[in-house]
Amino acid sequence: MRILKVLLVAALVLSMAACSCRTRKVGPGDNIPLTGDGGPLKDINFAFDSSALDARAKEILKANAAWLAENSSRRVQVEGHCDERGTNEYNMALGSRRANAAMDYLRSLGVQASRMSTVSYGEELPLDPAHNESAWARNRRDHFNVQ
Amino acid sequence: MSFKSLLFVALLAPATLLGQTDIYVRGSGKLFPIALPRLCTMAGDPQVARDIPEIVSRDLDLSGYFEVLNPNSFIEAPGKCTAPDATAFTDWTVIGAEGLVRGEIVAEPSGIRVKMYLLDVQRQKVVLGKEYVGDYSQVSKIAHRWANEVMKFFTGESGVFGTQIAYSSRVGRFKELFVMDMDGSNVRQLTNEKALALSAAWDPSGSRLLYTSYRNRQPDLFEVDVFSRATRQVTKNSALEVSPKYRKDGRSILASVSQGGDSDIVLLDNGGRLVQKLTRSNGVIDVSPSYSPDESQIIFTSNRAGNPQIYVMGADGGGAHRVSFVNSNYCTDPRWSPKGDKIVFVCRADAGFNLFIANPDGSSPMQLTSSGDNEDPDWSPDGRYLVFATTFWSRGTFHLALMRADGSGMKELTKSRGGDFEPSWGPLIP
Repeated sequence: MRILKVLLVAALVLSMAACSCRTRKVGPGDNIPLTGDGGPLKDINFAFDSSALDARAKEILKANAAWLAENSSRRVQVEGHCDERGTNEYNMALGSRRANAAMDYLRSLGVQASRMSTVSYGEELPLDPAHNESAWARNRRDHFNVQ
Repeated sequence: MSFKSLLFVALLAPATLLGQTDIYVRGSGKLFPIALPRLCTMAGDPQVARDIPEIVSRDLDLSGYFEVLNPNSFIEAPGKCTAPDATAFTDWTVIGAEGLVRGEIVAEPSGIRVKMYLLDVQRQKVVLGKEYVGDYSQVSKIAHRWANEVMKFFTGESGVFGTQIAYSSRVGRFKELFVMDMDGSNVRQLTNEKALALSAAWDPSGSRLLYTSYRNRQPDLFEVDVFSRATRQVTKNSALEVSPKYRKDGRSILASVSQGGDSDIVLLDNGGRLVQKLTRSNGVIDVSPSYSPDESQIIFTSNRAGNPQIYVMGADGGGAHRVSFVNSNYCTDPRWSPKGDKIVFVCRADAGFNLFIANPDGSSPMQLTSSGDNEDPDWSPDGRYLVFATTFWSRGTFHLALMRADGSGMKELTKSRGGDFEPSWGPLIP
């Protein structure tokens, strides 16, 4: 049993090393990214049913823009996410607005549009699977997938 | 004559109506008590003699109109062979049955012949009779057709038993498309894309589903054939297309497209090319469109007034007006009933998301659910039922449920571990 566990961990480490984390692809044929707030850029968060950038979000975006200025060869995909409340289709559109709000702001800070793209995952990829206020607050986010 | 056409003739032959209709189902309050004993079989398959009444029982129970009596209470021996009008009716009145379904199976060289009868126990007579010929693979089809006849007898309108429901189900981290019979049986997985397959909608013939897929790591519209499982990519671009719906002609697609933060209702051809932009609102979310039954109007969700509410506009995009007048700052996911007389939508109310029904102009809204979260409603093709996703039975996990459009008779249809979402009820195929 213990040997099996060690083997599993080793396999996991190997597969993570193999992925090089450029695309964060998990397994063969796996077409959606793993959720996780890792990566060099910090997530920003939103109020319920809102895509407005608050002061804290703008601070984080300024830091993210500075990092992108220093790492000019890197590209970023802005992922818009929602909490589980509300219906999936509306949340897909809301996630798209959230991703675009951040991309527009980054562009206004001088990040070239050609280095950025957006994708909405609606409520489909929660960071925290719990069903409470603090989980929902974490899940209403833009994640910056640096490539 | 080939076997298939033989079946066709038998099914289309006029019903052998042996009596006049005198039984009525009274409102939704009292359920009509009905007994469905095992069928008589002389040389047929004894399993079929059990299967048919079981399938019909499940259908009638799901319908919300009947109280299907427990076979353990039956006095008559199971599978007893007797001429229908020679039934010992007192054996059934004493256990409270008012209706009785019995039948017999006769083996045929190429399959079976099934004779089904509906009896009025109080008047002691046969009121409906039908005969079906088919092979063994058609047993459940025969049972559903007979259940539809029984529904027609009692309510004046055929049932929707045997129709299909498509939906998304969580499989690990992914969402894949599934199809099941409307009673929750016969579940089949259609996609295995290891991505997100969302917003499934049937084509008018009931053979294909349109859906949004992330299989290429970008959301695009795809179509899957429910029989061959072959897929076709419909759109290929950087925009996000969701909530696709075929028009009745099957040649164009109503959908919402998000790009650059705007989300608009559009009409596409079935090759995914833009035909017409129906809304053009700046910085506003317009999503989840569907047609009125005559396709003259479109109902959709919009946050143009600050928060999401339900709107109706002409099929050309003009004259949008709000129709959700519920005390809620969040209403989404509207669907027009197939008869055109009602709309259903979801609103945040009573500390959860609940289903509401109203007239198409928004008048007389009525709340249908009040416990857990209830989302993604769709109508049965006859407009009598709603299928939707609910957390009523397990907090935090959505499963599909069925209920009558007045909110009564809620039944659980699915129990998958990861949860089930976004049901789409397929058409009634004759």
